[in-house]
Amino acid sequence: MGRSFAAAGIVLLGGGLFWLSLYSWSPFTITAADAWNGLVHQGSVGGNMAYIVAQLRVPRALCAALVGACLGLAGALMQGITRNRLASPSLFGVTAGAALGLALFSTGLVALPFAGGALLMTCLGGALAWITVFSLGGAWSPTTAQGRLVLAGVAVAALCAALTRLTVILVEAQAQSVLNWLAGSLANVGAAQVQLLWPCTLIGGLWALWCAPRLNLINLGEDAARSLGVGIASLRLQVFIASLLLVGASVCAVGPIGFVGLIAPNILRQFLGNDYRWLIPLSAALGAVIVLGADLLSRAVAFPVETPAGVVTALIGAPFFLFLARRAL
Amino acid sequence: MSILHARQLDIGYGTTRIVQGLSFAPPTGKVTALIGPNGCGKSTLLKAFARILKPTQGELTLDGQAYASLSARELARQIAFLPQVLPVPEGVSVRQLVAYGRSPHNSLWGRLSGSDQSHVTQAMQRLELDLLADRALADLSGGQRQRAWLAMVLAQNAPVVLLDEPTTYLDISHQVELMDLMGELAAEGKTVITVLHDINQACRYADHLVVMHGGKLVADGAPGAVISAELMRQVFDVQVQVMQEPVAGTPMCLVEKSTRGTDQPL
Repeated sequence: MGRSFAAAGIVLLGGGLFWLSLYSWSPFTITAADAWNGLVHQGSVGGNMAYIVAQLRVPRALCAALVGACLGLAGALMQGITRNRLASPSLFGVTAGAALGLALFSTGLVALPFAGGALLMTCLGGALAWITVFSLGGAWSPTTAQGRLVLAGVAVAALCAALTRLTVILVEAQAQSVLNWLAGSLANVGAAQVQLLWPCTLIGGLWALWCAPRLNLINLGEDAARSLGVGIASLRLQVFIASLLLVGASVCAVGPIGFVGLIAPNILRQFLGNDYRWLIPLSAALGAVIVLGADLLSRAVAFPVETPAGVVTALIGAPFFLFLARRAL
Repeated sequence: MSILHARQLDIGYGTTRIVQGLSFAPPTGKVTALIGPNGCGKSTLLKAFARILKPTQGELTLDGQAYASLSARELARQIAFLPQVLPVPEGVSVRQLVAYGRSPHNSLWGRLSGSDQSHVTQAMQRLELDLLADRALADLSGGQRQRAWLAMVLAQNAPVVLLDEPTTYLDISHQVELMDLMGELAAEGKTVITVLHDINQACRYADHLVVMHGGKLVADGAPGAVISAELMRQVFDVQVQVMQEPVAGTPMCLVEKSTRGTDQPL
């Protein structure tokens, strides 16, 4: 089966990149043996380098994989529910909205003094952007041109980015750290981010899978889907919540990383067709591959200085978007 | 006897009312054709039956149960609907499309059981799609695509079948086959309701005609009892001679001229 081969290939590639990212392009000299000790024995054997691997490299690689999975899943969900191949968290302004939410939180302008406040603020920011873009873009009207949603998304993303900068300027004390985070970097992640990401990825991923068969029917048009037993309003709400959780968690952990949700499902469509029962899980896997690869590249391009991974995905993603837009619009 | 009942339906978009005060119960085991001029509300009525549109007033019941009390899946097991405008979904093969017709019946993951498979195969055979089964929908002609959608509706195997202008894109022999197929479905005890534009085709193949004009039901009954030169002039603004169709003995309208603009409004 071609699909099973594709699935196995993507998972193998992901595993390979994960392994590579444990010891490659590090400012320290880390060997494969150190990486093995760090990964398997949590650094209890093998000295300092293995300890570094266990404390820094493993969480970083895990974060990259989980963030990629989140974004790939969210992209596939959004493309499914809008029947628009250009749909993705970054192009629809959801990532930028989430980033604004978190900037407001981390600069202290909006104080939510309880655990999970940061995640809640990112999700709220994303939700606000989503609602604005979908109503401006006429997402649920059958006659709307595909490009209108993208235009609304780009406009809202620009507005959110401007507001985020304004927030950072107003609160100078933390400006530098927030600015670093805004570029979407995996340089400073640790166990805390993994702790935040894995439950959100798991819940969002299972929820997305649960929606997959109904997204297949949405692909036939909303009237046909309805007459095949799909409750459209409930599905839209579920996709909305699941996508926000996925995007919110990824932005909360590493900042906005663009284009992954656009690229992953669209590459898979070329090989797998439009069956969301395959597209959803494999978009998670390919998203993980893309972010792991982008993180590796981000360390390699100007070694030993790190470029944010978000810059790398944008460098690859923007031309990819233009290519897709030429065909889809 | 009817499984579907519409009572005093008002249906509209926004503030415009398209269907007004319509009561109607399509007979079970018969083919009912909805006819009427453009914009008279036939498609709107069909969409309300399919629960795509919610009536602003009135009541719709299926087997004595109010529509509102049925879940989307429950309704989909009872009512199959073919929309008038069909998108061309990318990356979907004919077999996949037909299999989607089974989704109200199978597990939520969409895995096909043995009986689902046989419904799919039969539906494809009945619409002569065997050779096209693995082709992508996007690569087919309009008529072939229409047949694939019809097979999907057939695979759904619902006791009520609603078809909005199903003969669009079909060549004449496939139109005849489709009309015969509707008759077979009705003979199996299904309630078939279809919007048709060709009055003579409707008279020849439908057991029951519903004539709509300006959102209202103006006549309802067997073709022979409904069609008259007077009705055709009032509803369609055409002057016709009503004759007996030589093959089936049903009414047949021969158009003499349009009377639009010369006529008193109804």
